Amino acid sequence: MIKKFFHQFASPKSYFAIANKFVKPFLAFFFLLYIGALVWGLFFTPPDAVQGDSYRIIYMHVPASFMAQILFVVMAITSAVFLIWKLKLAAYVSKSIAPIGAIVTFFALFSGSIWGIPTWGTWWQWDARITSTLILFIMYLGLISLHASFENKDKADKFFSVLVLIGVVNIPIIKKSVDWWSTLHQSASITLTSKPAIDPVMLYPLMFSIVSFIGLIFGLVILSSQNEILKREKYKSWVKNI
Amino acid sequence: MNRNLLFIEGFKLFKRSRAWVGPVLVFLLIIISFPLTLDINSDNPPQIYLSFIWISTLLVTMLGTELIFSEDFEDGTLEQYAVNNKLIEIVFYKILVHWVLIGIPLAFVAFLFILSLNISIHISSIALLCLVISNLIFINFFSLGNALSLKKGSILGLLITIPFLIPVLIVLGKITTSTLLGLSLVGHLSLLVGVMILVASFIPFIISFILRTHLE
Repeated sequence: MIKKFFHQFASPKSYFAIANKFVKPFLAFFFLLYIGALVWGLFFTPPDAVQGDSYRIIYMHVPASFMAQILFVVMAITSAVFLIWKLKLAAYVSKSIAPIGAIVTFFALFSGSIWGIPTWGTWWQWDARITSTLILFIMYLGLISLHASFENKDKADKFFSVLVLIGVVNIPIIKKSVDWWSTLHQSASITLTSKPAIDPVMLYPLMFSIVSFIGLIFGLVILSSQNEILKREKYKSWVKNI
Repeated sequence: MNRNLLFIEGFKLFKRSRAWVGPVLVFLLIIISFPLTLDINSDNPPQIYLSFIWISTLLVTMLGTELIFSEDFEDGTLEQYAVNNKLIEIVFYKILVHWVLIGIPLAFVAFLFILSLNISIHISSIALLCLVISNLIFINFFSLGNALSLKKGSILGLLITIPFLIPVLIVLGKITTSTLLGLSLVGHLSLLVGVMILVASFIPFIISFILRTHLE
């Protein structure tokens, strides 16, 4: 029964129908939640003892840099699913993640630069985390241009997936290797294994903003994958009937 | 190991002398033009020259592997190999031949350049060893990029593969600084060798998968 469910769900047609039903309320919900988290963070938290009010950009910077990496991993999972089980839907989803990932990564870099001016005194520093995020951004752009350069989209899907898999093996290596060289950026304040090094007054809105940003971005991914399905299957009869 | 196939691949590249003499000459020209733009005197730290060598070999190996698959792809040779299930072998031999005819000569040219700057023979021989190892890694990755962007021009291949080579460049930079400080190099060098073995044994499989997809 589970197998049957997966077969049905994984066909672009039924995925489209299901997604069409819930994507708009889903997006609206998380959008409002994110706005709420931003309002909470920007107006109802005390200023930081050292950084003053400038730290408040954390409610945009941290979710974005978190998502920048998570999206690549998600893209790798869908690409592996595509290469192993030959599910077309997985290829469509991973193709539609790439531009969103590029934008989110750019946003993480940009907000980090803005934050760097008051706290570090410079908008750019060639240090470990910043450089590895920049490489991630270039990798997203390379993937997009690779997919765009092939007329035959079925081939493009395969190459794209292979490259994403090589890239995801490389991401932890890049992260480690740039750690060997020099670093200015602080290490993560919130980890799963230890107690957070940040006060609960600021931690709760931060958690809130991360969760709502994840929801918002996944909503956008679903929306964009629907778009991709329509584009790629425009000659199928079910698309013509919409 | 099929000696005949290896010999054929080697001969094919050797006959096309432009493909392997050309990159070495380009590298020589880049090296000649470097002292023209930088005032060479003994005050410059050797680090500058070494980092210049790493970056320019990276780009020249890219040039050298530009046509690694395209000719055989166009005249149908690759297809014959694919039908006979010899694609992985051929990819492996091609990379090996390119390493011997392009990678190692480049390393020796760079070695001579570093020696000519009055840098000690110890440092320059370490640089030679690093270049011989890292050129194999570069050639493997650029072959991957060129296999992906077959008939699409090499810009796309460069754009895709250079991010993967950044860890190698960082290790090379580490080697440079620790050589100049007189620290032990065993850790970094063995890391580089390990990466080389891993890359040289896995990338040909990925490349043959990509070529097979191209041939479908």
